[in-house]
Amino acid sequence: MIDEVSGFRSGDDEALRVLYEEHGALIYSYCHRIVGPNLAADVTQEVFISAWRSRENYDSERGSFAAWLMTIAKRRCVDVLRRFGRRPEFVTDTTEAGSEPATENVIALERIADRMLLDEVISQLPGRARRAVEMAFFEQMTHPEIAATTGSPLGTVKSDIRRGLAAMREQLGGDDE
Amino acid sequence: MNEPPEDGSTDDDLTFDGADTLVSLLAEITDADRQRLEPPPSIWNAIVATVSADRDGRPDRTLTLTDNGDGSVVADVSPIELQATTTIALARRRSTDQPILPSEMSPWGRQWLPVAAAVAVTIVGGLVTWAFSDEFSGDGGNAAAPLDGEVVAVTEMTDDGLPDGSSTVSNIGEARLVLSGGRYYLDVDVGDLPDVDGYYELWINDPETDGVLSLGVLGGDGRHALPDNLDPADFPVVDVSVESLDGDPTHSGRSVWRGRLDP
Repeated sequence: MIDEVSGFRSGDDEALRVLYEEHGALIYSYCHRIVGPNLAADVTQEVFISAWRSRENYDSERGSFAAWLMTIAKRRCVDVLRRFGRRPEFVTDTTEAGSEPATENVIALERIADRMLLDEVISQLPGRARRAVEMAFFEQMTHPEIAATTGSPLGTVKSDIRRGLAAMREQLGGDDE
Repeated sequence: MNEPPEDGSTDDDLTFDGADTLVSLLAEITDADRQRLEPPPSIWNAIVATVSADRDGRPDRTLTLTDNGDGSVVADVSPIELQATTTIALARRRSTDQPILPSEMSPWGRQWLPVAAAVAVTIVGGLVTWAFSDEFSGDGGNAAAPLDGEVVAVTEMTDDGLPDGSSTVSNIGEARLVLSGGRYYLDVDVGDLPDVDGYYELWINDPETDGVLSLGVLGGDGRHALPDNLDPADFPVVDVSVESLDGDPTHSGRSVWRGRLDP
């Protein structure tokens, strides 16, 4: 991953392809959800082209590559919603068509991005840590319950969850284009 | 219950700036947040075409979309002097709102369309290719600039053997497959095209699967880039169709000239 991002920053086409394969589904799924099926492909394309053209701006110390892409995707989606006067389909409010997306809509749009990104980070955690995090936050299990279910010592479960949270914190953040 | 983490940290280590937000977000994750959709291949093809254009120093041309409010979208290609506008319906198939086989369609078109609907790259992909093709101008292309590269194959574009047979010009010119700068292009010399109700579109076809790929609007002589990851031997047939401004991105089935390239 580090090599790919490094290659991407230096303009390596192959690195772009690998990173698209790794993150294309995340970005496309997000855009599909926010701007709808008719525009998702175009916005996804714009996100990767924008990222490629501003690749020297990516700073891995400020967040993961996926978070950076998601930051670009959020902006592109907001642009599209403004352009078309649309609102995200998930929000029901009284915003008139043609107006700026309501602030709460933009916040909701960003929160969806953060949640999808978090899920992406969780899916990339090592197996045991991923399972512990999923049990703790998706299945609402206590640490002792996780320890009993997995057969791991309680201290190990706590460590796994702590590392998982730390990884998530590192991954989130994004960056300027 | 109070067993400390095995790495020597304490539970307090779980508290950090933003921890509450993180935990709150985790608790909000839904099945929809975890769903992933496979991006259509046209996205990557368009990215490759744009990146290649950037690398070759071609001018930046932006695709601007405007929603018509009826499910169709108007696509404008900047800079404005290109005056390239068409109406498209993204990701829509003719079958969603029209009969699949209109009565005016040729038998050849009938054979193609179902496959085209499933396989054809959306017109956006075609537009991007078109927009970034080297020689594009407002009238759909020109031959003013020299077209470099190694000619790999040449074919005459004729209406011989086309079931449609509607062309009033039996031989419109030629198409050349050219390798330049590590990528393939289709150089088309067709001179002044006859007036038509609608517009001409350039396609390549895999006769074995009847898959078609749009290379964009054909307005005259010009160069059209092929996707980087495409083997031109897989799409040896060059096809020019007449398309209506009906917002349907699929092949109309009304082909007027064809040729076969055998690299």
